[in-house]
Amino acid sequence: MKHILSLAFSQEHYNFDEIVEFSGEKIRLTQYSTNFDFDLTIDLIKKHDDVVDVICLSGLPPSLKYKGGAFFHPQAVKLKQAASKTPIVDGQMLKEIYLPWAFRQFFLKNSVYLTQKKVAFYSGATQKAMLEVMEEFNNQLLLADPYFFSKLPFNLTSVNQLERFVRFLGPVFKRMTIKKSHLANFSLSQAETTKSLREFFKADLFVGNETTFQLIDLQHLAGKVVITDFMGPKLEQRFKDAGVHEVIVCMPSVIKNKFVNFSILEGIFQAFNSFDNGPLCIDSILSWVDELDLKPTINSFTSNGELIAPLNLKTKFAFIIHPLSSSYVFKHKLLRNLKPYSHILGPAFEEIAALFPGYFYGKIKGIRSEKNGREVEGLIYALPQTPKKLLENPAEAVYSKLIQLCVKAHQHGANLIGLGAYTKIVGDAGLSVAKASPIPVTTGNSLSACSTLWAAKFALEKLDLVEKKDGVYQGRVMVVGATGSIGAVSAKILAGAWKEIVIVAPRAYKLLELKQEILAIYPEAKVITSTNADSHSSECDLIVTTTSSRGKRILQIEDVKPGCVICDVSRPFDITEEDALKRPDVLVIASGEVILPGEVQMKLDIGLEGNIVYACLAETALLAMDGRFESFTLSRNISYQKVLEIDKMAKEHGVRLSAIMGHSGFISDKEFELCREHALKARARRK
Amino acid sequence: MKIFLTGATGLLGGELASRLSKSAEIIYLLVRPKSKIPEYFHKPPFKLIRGDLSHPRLIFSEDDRQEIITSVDTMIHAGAYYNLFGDRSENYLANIVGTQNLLFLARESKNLKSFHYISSVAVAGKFRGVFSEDRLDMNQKFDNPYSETKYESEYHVRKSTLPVRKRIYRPGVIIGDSQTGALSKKDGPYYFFDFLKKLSRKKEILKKLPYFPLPFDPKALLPLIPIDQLAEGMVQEILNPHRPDESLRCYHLISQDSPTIEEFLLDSQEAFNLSFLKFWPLPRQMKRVIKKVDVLTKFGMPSDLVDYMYAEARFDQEQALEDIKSLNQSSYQKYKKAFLTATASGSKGRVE
Repeated sequence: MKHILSLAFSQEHYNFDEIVEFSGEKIRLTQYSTNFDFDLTIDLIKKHDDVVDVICLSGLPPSLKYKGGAFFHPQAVKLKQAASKTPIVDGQMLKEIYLPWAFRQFFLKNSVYLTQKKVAFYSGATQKAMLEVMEEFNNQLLLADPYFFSKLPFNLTSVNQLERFVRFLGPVFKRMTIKKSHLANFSLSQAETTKSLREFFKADLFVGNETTFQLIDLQHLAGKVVITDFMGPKLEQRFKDAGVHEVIVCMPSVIKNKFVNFSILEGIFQAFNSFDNGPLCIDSILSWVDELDLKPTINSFTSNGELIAPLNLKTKFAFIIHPLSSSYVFKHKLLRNLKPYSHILGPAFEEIAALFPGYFYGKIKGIRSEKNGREVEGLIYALPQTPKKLLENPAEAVYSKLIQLCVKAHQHGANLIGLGAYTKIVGDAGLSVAKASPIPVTTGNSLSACSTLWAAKFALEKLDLVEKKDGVYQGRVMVVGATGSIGAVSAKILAGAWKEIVIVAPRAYKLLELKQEILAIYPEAKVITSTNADSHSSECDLIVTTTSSRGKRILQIEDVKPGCVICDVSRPFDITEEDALKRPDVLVIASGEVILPGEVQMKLDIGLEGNIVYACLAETALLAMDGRFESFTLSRNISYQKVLEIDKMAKEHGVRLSAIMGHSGFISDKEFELCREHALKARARRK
Repeated sequence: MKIFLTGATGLLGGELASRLSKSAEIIYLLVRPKSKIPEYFHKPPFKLIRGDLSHPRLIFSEDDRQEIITSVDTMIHAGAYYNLFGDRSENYLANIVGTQNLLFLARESKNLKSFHYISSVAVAGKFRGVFSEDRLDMNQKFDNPYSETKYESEYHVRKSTLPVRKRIYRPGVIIGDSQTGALSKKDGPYYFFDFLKKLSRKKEILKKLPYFPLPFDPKALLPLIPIDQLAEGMVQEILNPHRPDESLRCYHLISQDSPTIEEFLLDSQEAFNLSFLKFWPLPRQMKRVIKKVDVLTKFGMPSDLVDYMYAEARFDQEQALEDIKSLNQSSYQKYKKAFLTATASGSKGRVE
């Protein structure tokens, strides 16, 4: 039986002596952890020289090559030469060959999640192979080498800097004996006094090797993603205790029930070397990597500490909001104290605020998909312009401010940005912003349309005035502005759920086109076309208005059937607030707002109550949860397919309708009841 | 009974070997090729096996190895490195590497019924409070390599998946025979007696001192056990286990009424005619300084002795008193006279 001895230089209390199986053969694998005891390690090597087949050293400072030289620690060199007969390996050759390859493959596959991240290396010097890959993928690097090795309070940010650092301080390190006390422990308490460490802890991804993680404090890793070379059961438990979000392990378990590090694996390769005990060569390592099909694995920890698969990196999306009226300007924390005077100061501040660029407003944390468990984080940016100002100012000026925000969001790791409220109405509805933005842009209109229809359905059921048979409402529905983008989509969707549908638009030829399209989908549908809404409004149970009339009256509210639900999807509204108040027996819905899945923490005021968010924001979050970083909805055209798609996505990921908004805020259950009463009375009167 | 015994050339191992020889069929003794071996070990029931605990193969000859793997039913691991002057490397090789290698052999043995491991109360390290027999890891720290390596090797014994009866013995400080006081190896308290002997030659000067500073905690426990009582108790458990069905039992083998350091000092002062001395206990905070300056070595004592002078652990003996009946008779008050007079009257009782 082959016997492999592993000496873990930087660990303690981790010894074992077992028989393991590797490619059908039994090996005795013995490990002693020597806890930085150089003499003991030498003694152990001498004792086992010419007795065991291979000696594997781990936890030693690696040799580093840099331009014009190399760094070897004399103690490490001495240990590697301590045996006269038995070959000694340290896993560095395997690391240098396997890691860059495996890591690149992994990155290419998951590049969406792994670019533009802040990546922190505890020690770039000991993990140069990974470092070079990370740099190639456009990540922002933070190397804590100065702190790690000698507690110097600064970080390095590139491979070049690291080389300079090693070249400069190499002679000093060579004279230092390797001791545990020389290494930093990265505890949270030290960050209070060290600025560089605070910055380091802010990173998204932390890269280290097993040895490092065993030695340092892991508290700062709560909720973060960790990349490690391998993970034993001990470390796995520590990661769980620290609340690590996700761990990417570069070395899968090759041996049953046993996690072996690079050094041991190289030792095993050495022991089974077909070239008769000669030193391992690159070719034979390559053939092993190929034969064993080595590749990185991902482990995610859910909040209760169980392992779930697979990739579950936290992604970020951004969303732009703006004050809906001048009183919203006073929600800014600097202006909060001036709120009592807002009616006097309002107009002036509205003007002034519009001169400022957009800024970071806050975060929405803890959004977690019910479908795949992926957690996303929302970065909310505010553009301090009221709707009036947005529509007044030249579109180009607004674009440039929006693009600024897109760039900012990209820098902070967002993969997607959504345009909220009026920012998507300005100019060409997001097209020019999307062209200049580094990340995809979506307006969120698909889910807005979708949620309004949800809201309409909900309201109809709540009022319970329309009969339903086989899932089809036995009444008449009208879509005003049916040839517009949302209108056409609504008409197509509603045609399947209602007995009769009236489509209203100013241009007759477009109406006929739409009718044909509807009939292509639902040949059974009864479609009535009209250019005037008022002619049919007295018979309709649901009216959806999606015109772009900008405040022009399109409907005589007095003629509407009592108990009718009017869905006003247009912005600005087609139905004015005054109109809505005239008819207490008619329910006017402005939009349907939604809640996001997961334990959402929202410590900012976006103008809605609690955790309720705008549907367009939810669309951005949904796309992030689904990993679809694309400009999903742009311009004023929404496609029928996309609405169906986002509807499906929302149901899968757990985005649900939570509140129905009227013109003046949420519509409560009481209001529904009142409306129903009024409607019944009015109907009785008419009869 | 076919026994495999390590550490037969040591103090406790030798005692165990001679006591077991009456009832065992054969006793294999693992000895180093160069060890000095007492004459009677060459005769049956003893059989000498050449090997080395710290060597991964443990037994040099393949025939011997096969014989042991197939026949042995009881393994007693008394081989350890115990030398208060020893460095970490030696301790590690003998205790951790040795135990791990023996456990490997035990796992391969087909006929094995029981595994007896001699640990030490030193595994409690710097633990403060009552140390239980059931548990090992109390998050304790260690200040000398002996405790640390003994802890680690006991950990391996506990953790190993041997499907046999495992017994762990944690003896206290081993002193000479309870009747005659004779001991063949110099250990902790004996270094101290040497020191007292040196002092007793300078009575005149000492009498002028109001106090004599000494690093000790008056309340620290000195867990003593005479060699004969220890060996007797263990042999009892090895031959007739009290609870044969339990897979793991661990025993604190110390005299129930073990003295505190203060009591022990008073008794030994009396024995050495130094009763006039007033010892002044140096505070615990000075322990590190004393170890660093190495004061004790200058007086012929190993510096790790300080750790025992400030030990803070008490030992729970529930399992030991239940399973090993003879331990109930072990009383410091009964044997202290024999022990102290033997040491005070010169080195007669002690073979160096």
